Amino acid sequence: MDDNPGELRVYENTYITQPNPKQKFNAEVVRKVVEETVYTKLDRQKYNPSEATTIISDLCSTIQDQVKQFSFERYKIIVQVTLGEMKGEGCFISSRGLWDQQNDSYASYSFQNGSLFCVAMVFGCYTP
Amino acid sequence: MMDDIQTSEEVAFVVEDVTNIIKESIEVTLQQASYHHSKVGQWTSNVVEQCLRRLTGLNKPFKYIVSCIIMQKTGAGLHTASSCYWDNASDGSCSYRWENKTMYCITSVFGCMI
Repeated sequence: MDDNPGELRVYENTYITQPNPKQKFNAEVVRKVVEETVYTKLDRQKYNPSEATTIISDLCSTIQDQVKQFSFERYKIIVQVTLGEMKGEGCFISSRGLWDQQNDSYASYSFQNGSLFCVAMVFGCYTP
Repeated sequence: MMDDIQTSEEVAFVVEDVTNIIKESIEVTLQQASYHHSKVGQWTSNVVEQCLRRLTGLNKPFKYIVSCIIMQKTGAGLHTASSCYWDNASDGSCSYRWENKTMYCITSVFGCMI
């Protein structure tokens, strides 16, 4: 079959509404990966306001790349990372999703050391 | 035709509408409140629930994820970042920052089209 650049490819419906059980979003595995990434990056770091933005952007990209490697097919991945300075303040983070409970899931990890705290959340939404 | 309805602009993630929803949800919950450790959990739950309720009211074929951070004002720094692997044409996100004299509230909404 030759590829004609001017030709529009139309894909047929697969009519699949559930993910392959082997490729379902595995929260445990994702959590371990997130834990490892965050811990490696932040273990002995001190809070620095000028570097913090770069650090969390990097963390976001790294975590996303690693989750993509698991090849959860037809899953949309959302990674959210929050980093704050430890100054004795109170902080509460809460999240809720309106989604398909059977197929969609999340993984989260929180880390803290003497000068900073970090919370990373990864959400996976299946698209039928 | 079903296809026409699904591809029209009305079904897209409208950032303005969602920002207004977040703003209203926060103001209804936190209006004139002062940071109090024992109430924070309830406030974040309320903000998130109100957001979700109003988002459902938009009647769009979306899955939503709402995330709310409430932090006491002590001069400490806070940074948030997010990264999404999705379809840029149909999915979207928005964030809203609110503050008063004693606390900050940052709420983010992510919407994935079904």
